[in-house]
Amino acid sequence: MSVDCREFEKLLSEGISELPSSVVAHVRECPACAKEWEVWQEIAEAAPALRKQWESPELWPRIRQSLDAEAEKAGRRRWWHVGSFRLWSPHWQGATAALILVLTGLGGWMMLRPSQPTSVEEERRLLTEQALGEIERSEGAYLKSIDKLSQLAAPKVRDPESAILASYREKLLLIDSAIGELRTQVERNRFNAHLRQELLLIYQEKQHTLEEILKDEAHAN
Amino acid sequence: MLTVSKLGLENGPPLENALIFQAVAQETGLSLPPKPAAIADEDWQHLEALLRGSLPAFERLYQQHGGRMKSIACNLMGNTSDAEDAVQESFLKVYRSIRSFQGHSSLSTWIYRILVNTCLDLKRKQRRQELPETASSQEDIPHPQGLTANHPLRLTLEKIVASLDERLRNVFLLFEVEGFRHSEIAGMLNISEAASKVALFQAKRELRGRLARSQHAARNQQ
Repeated sequence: MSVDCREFEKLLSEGISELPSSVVAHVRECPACAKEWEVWQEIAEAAPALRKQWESPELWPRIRQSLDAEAEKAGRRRWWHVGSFRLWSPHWQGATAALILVLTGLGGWMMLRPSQPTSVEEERRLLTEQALGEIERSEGAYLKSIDKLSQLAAPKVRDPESAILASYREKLLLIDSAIGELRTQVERNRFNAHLRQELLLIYQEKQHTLEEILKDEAHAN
Repeated sequence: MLTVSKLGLENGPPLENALIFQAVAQETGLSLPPKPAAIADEDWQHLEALLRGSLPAFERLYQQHGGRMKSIACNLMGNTSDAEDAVQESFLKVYRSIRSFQGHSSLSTWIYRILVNTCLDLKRKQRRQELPETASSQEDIPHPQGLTANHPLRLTLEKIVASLDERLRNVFLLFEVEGFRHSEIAGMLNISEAASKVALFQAKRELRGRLARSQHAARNQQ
């Protein structure tokens, strides 16, 4: 093998698509390299014909459908994540215990209070309305205290000076959007205890986050 | 003044950090941060929309790359039905993991990498389950350029390429058939550029030898 044949081989191994003029001269004179180059070229020219092209009008709608489903799933996961944040923390356990206590008390009060001379359905409606009224009043008071915390934390959150504050801010935005979403659902269905319970959990998460922001600030000072 | 270090973003994924920084800067009225150099302007805007999970942005992605994705998948999977499944699966993976895209390569290279890996995974799964791999039914697929669908050279080449070692076949298909550069193929297959060049050389050598044998056999039959 001459030096030129080796050079030709080296160029092939580097994946060149055109030969430099010095090597072209060699290829013209060397039948082995000429044959090699011819086959090489033949393969390169034939290869694009292996590209496939066909119409598939159903494919994008299928993909879109799966992305929609994924988005919905992700939304639920995000929601669950916020709802179950520190699920087993002492805060959550305390809040659950308080909620159970309130609900038990409310149930007991409804059972033991003197009965009214009205129809069963009317009585149930009144009881439900009263219970709801209680819950809404407590919720209102709870919201006021969270608002106070929000006002205290507002300067820190508005202009976060650290990564942790920036992440708290992100979290609060997420919580507020979840609260907004839930409140809309609750307004549509005031009697749904499950929705109210979820709303309460989210409020607790907000309270907890605000407390952490203020605690961090106190530590920093 | 707002800085990347103040936000604690200096160690995270560069693209996502840049986008977070941009969002914070916009909100606080500060000038926008420079976009990472590796990302083109158009990719940058498109990425923002993709990160928000915007479906029109994903549709645009499909319009831009869907055709080429289908072709690659079809050559790797051997039939159009599995190819379409692979493309769908890849889009789902892109949707799920777009936030982990770090901008070290172009968005398209990243997407094709996901596609190639998805195809290889599906093939492995088929082999594990011992499913009969659907035979290539290329006759009904129009080929865009060059030789006609039933040209003897194209048919022979297709058959030989399909029987190549996986590593050689992937590089050959991506370089010669789909027209990617070695640097892009390196990113897609997670190999070095040099390894991509060597694999292409080996693939062509193998093809040349087998083509010669096949032509010789055809001449003898005549």
